[in-house]
Amino acid sequence: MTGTERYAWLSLIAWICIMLFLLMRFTTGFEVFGNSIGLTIVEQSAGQLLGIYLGITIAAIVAESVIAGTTAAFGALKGVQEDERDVMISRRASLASYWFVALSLNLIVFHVLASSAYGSALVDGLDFASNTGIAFAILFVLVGAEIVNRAALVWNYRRP
Amino acid sequence: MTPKKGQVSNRIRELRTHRGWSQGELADAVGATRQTINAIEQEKYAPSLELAFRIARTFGMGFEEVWQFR
Repeated sequence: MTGTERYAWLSLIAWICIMLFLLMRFTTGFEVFGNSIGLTIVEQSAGQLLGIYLGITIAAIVAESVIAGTTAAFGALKGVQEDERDVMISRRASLASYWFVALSLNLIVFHVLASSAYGSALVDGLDFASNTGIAFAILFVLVGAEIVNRAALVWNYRRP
Repeated sequence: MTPKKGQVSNRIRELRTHRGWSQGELADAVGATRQTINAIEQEKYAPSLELAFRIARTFGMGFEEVWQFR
């Protein structure tokens, strides 16, 4: 396993944890390990939204720094850690996350426009018109793009 | 592995084992990772021209003695 692949695995786990935290704080529906996750957005105060945003940002910076530092230190003991194949796989992963962002934003725009055209949310409870809805949509796309990127890295390294 | 038509095949595994080199030793010699050498040997990854030439040169052979296009 190259340093880049090791980083991709650890980073994927970290971003999935961040996504779970995001879903637990913003949504409700059904119980998972004592926390509620679902398709209904839970309204939050401006202070709570800021707290969640800062929490996610700090968690992401700390997690990425620790993972990148650890894999770099571990890799420094060995030979070549990254070559042209790693760069090619990294480009493919970036393309995958770009398409995720493009698709997600299009779905959100369609949902907002169609919901306002029909007078009610297409998916009950999934309302992006409030501050909470906007914050959730943006954070979901950002965190989701990172997960797609890392998953694409892992898949490209492991595919038969 | 029998290469499909239009695929680049190579004799790296044969040449490497003949010389008694490990994948890691060849990787270090050409500036690639061991995983990339493994992927090239299994024909899952077609390297750049530069890396392909470097591998052929490391074996002390001509390009077409190492690489074939079918």
